[in-house]
Amino acid sequence: MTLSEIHYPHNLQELLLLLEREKKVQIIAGGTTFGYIQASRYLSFEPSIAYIQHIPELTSIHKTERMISFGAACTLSELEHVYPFEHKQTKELMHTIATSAVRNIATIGGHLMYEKRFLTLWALLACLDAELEFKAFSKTSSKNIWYLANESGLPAIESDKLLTRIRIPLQSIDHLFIKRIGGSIFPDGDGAYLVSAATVDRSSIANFKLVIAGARAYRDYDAEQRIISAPYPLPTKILQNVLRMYAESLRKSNFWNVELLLPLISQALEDMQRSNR
Amino acid sequence: MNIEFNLNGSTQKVSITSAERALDVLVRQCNIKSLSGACLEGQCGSCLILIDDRPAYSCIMPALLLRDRRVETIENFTKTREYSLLYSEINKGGTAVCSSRQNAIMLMGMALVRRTLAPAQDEIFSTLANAYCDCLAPEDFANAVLNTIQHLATARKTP
Repeated sequence: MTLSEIHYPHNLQELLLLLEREKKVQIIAGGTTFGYIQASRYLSFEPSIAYIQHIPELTSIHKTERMISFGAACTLSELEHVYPFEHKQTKELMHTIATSAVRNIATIGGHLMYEKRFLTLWALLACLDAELEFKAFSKTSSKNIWYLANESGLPAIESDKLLTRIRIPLQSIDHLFIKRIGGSIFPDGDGAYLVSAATVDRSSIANFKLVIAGARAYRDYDAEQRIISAPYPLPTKILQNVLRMYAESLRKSNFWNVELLLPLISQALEDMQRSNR
Repeated sequence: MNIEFNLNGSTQKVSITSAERALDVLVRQCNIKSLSGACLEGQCGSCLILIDDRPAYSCIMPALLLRDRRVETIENFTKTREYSLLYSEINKGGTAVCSSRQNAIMLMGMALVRRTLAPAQDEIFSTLANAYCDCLAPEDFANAVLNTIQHLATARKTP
């Protein structure tokens, strides 16, 4: 059993100062991941830990006309009533993470910064173009959520970075397709989520994304562009062409099961074809 | 490290380390008898507490999270009228809740009864899922909660 020094910074400035002064500080918000994963009675952390769930800047939710922004220390339960989780399908997805007694404590920051794999909400937030704000003592940077994945689609979490806020552009979601594949996803199961989302006008698709995330994250930008540039509903020829593109890129990834995923992608596209009729 | 938090209405001062789980501090230092840690995975519900009015598993919570929070266990409710009403509603018709889940189920019921006048059925079901007990059908739990709320509302109206 190793004992750590516990810090309770009162505000963001104090936390950033602490992270600047001591390079190896482990951030604890809900802490449920540690409590769940560590089977022994006593928990182990880095020699220095900072508890952040009471820091006002990290627990606020702001909504403007164009985007919603929530602090990384917001609990999953707190997000249930705001975009994009107020919709039936996305709320159900949130509920698959864990029971409410876990969601009342676990935070969105902990969910996204899990080092081993991409957890339940990752694919959805990637489809919605979520932006992550990271802060250090002297600089703030904003990165697309794909910053958390490397070129091979593996998690690339830099544990010394402090995730402060998650911003999602508000958009009309006319088509949303969510499918879970495989077994459990947390802490190290073989499960993954396939999510596709689109904004559909009368005769065109304004926005389309399809993301698969679990042990790795996957997306085919070229196939998405092909869909966006096509008329809506997609002509059969283009649909088949897009499916071929997905089949090829899935095969190239040398990781995903094409035979399993291609029918689901086809199902997602068919669902989108019906979404605005 | 010394921390303070509110436990069942009174301020508690305890000494914690980073290695302790909230459950262990509540049982060993605060002498809470209703909690136990059967699974240490947030599954069984026998460690369930209310933290700032919401259910949480104390077995997967580091103790350091308790600082400045409001914690309630079933001990805070057992002498109240609401508890007696809910208890008799749940046990109506001979339904026996298994003893290992009883505290958790009563605590979740009390949280619902206190928080809202008209909880939605899916809210009741998802609350019960925190300590699912095969002995109690979700519909029976929902009826017990709703009947208790109704009894309390009627009692408030009666002069």
